[in-house]
Amino acid sequence: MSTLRARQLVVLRDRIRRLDQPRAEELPALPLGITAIDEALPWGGLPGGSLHEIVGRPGDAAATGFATWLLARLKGQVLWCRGDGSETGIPYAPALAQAGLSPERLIVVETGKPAARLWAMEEALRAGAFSAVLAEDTPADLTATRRLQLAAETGRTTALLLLSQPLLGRVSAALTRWQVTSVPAETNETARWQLALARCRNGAGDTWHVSVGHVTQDETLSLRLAATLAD
Amino acid sequence: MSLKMRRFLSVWLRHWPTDRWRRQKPTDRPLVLTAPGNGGPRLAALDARAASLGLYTDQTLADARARVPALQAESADTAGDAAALGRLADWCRRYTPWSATDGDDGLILEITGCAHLFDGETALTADLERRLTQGDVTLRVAVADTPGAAWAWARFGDTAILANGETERKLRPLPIQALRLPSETADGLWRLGLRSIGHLLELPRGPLAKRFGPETLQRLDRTLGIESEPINPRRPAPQWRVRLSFPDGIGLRSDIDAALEQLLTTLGATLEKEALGVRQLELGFYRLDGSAQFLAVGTSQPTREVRHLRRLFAEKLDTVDPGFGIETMMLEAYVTESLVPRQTGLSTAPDVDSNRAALIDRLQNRLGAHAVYRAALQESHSPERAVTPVRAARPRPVAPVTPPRPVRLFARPERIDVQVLGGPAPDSFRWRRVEHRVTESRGPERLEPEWWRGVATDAVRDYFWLQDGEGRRFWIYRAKSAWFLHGLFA
Repeated sequence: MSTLRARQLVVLRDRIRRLDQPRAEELPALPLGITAIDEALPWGGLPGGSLHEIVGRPGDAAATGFATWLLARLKGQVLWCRGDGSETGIPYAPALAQAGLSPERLIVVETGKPAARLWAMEEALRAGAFSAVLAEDTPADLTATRRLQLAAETGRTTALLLLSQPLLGRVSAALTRWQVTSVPAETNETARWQLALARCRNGAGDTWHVSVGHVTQDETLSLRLAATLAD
Repeated sequence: MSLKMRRFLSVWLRHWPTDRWRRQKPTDRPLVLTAPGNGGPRLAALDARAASLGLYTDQTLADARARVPALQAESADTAGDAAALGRLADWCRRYTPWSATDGDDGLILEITGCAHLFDGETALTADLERRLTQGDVTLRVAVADTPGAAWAWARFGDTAILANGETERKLRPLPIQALRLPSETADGLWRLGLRSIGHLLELPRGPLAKRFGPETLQRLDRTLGIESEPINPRRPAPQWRVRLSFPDGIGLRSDIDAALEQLLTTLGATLEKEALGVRQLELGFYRLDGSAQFLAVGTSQPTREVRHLRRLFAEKLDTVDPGFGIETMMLEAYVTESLVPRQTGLSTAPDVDSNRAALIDRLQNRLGAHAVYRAALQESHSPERAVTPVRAARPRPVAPVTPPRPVRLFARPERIDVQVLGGPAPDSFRWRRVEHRVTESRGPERLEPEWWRGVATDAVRDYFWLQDGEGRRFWIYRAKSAWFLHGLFA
C-alpha cells in the first residue's frame, strides 16, 4: 500500500471515529510534563477517556510506580481493581500516598477472579464516576480491550491496564502501551525508570530514561528526562 | 376476649422423610427409612403404606422385612429432612412473614391479619393444601387461636378451622397427647387415668403443678390461650413488603424483569410517602413446586430509586431458577432509614458522588461487601498494620508516613537466602530461585514490634532498601537471624 493511501486511510478512520464518538475528542489530554514524551504522543499527552496499558516485568514495581504517578496527576477519585497479590504483592497505600495518590482518592476492589476485575473495570468506566480506573493483571483480549475502550469513551474515564509481565503475541485495542522497567538510580534519585512507548495509535514508539525525584508542590513526584539511550 | 385475637396455622407433615424420598425417586413399594441402632438398622420413618401394614418406628429392619418382604428400605437423612423442612418454611413466607419449622414434622405460621389477602382462612388453608399436595406431600392443616391449639387440632382434630373462641370447648375431648407434653409426663398422666385434656382441666392446679411440674400447666395455659406463646420466625419480619402473584406461574426473564420493576415502583411510592429509603432488600421467588429462592441486596446509603435498585437485582437475576414456574414474587424491605428528597438546586450536572455510591453498591453486591474498600492509613510501626480497610463510602483523614515505603507489599514476607560480607546489608540474595547482586543499599531502619499487642513471636525488624544490578529495588528485613523480602519499590 502506498504511503498516500495509508495516510488517507488514517484520516478516514479518524473521521469515522469522530462521527461515532464525538465526545471523545473533546476530552483534554494529560500532558506528562516531559517535553520529549509529550511531543511523541499525537495528542500532546495521555488522551483522556481511553484505554492504556502499562507493562512491567516480574519482581519489578516500576510499572506500578509509573501507573501511580499517572493516577496522581489525573486528580479526582480513582478505582483500583487488584487480585490477591500473592505473586506480585499488593499495592501498598502508604507508598501510593507518598507518590501523591492519597487514600482519600482511592477505592480498592479486591477479587481473585480476573473476569470479575474486568467486569468491575468496565462497569466503573461506564458509570463515569471516577477520573480513572486501573485493573491489575487482567488478561484482556482484543474484544475485551475494545469493550474497555468503548466504556472509557462513554464514561469519559481514563482506563489503565497494569500487567506484571509482557504477554507475547497479545493484540489489544488500547491507544498506548508502555513498557516500564527499573534501571539503576543515582544516589540523589528516588528511582529511575526506562519508559518504552511500545505501541501508540497514530504515533511512533520511542524509549526514554526518566529520573524520579521527590514529591513536588502539586503533590506528585517530579519526573524528568535522565539520559538518552544508546549514546 | 382478653387477648387481642391472633390466629395460627399449623401444618403436620406426617410422612415428611418418606414423602421427600419419594419425590426424588418414585417407588410403588412400601417405603421405610432406617437408621443404625441396637441390633442392626431400625426403622426411623415409615410411609402410609408401611404403617398400615403394621410396621412401627424403632422396629428392627430384619423384623420388618420378615413381615413385609416387598419392603423397600433406604437410609434416613435426618439433616437433609430438616434442611428441606426449613426451605418449606421459607416458601410459606408467601403467606406470612412469621413462618417457622415446628419440630421435625411440622410448620407453624402466624396468619393474624394475613388471611384476608387470600380471601379468608378457609381459602388460605385450601390454597396451601392444594399446593403442597401437588408436590406429593402428605399433610394436615389446622388454624386456631394459639400455636399449641393449632398443633393439636392438625393432629387430633376433625376439621381444618378451629373457630375463634372455641379452643377450650373443642380441645376438651382430645387425648392428653395433644398437649405435646414430654412422653414421661404424658405416660404418667395416662397411668393415673387422665386420658383427655378435659380430665386435666377438672383437676386443681396446685397439686397438678406439684406432681407433674409447672411446665405441664404452662403447656395447658399456652394451648388454651391463657398465656401467650411466641413463635420464632426463621428470619426477622420485614418493615415493608409488596407482592405480585401469577396464578399460572412465570419463568421468562422478561416477565421477571417486568414484575421486579412493578414491585420496586410500588415499594418506592410507599417509601416516598413515608420519606424513607431502603438499605436492605430481599426479593423472594416462590415457585409452583413449593420451593423458594431469595436474593438480597444492600446499599451503602438509603435509597428508593427504582433504576438503581433494579440494577442491583438485575446482576443476580441470572441465578434465579424458575423451575416449573414462579407463582409469587415478594419484595421485602428490612432496613429503612429516613430519606428526605434532596434539593436539586440550580446545577443540572450529573451528580458524580451519588453515581459513585451507586456503582460501589453494585460492585459490593456482586463481589462481596469486603471486596470494595478504602485503604485508610493509621499510625503504626508495623508495615502490615499501617493500612486498614474502611467502608468505601466514607473517606477518612490520613495519618502521615515518613520514610519511603515500597509501592508493592507482600502480605506474607518471603524467605530469602542472603550473603553478607561486610555488612550490615546483604551483598547478594536469592529470591524465588533468582540470584540478585546488590549494587546499592540504604538502611537499616529499625521497626520495633508493638509490645502492647503482646505477640511474643514478633521480633525486632531491621529493614533495608536494596538495588540490584538491573535497577530493581527491594525492601528486605532481618528478624533475629532470618531474612525476608517484604516489598518492591517503584
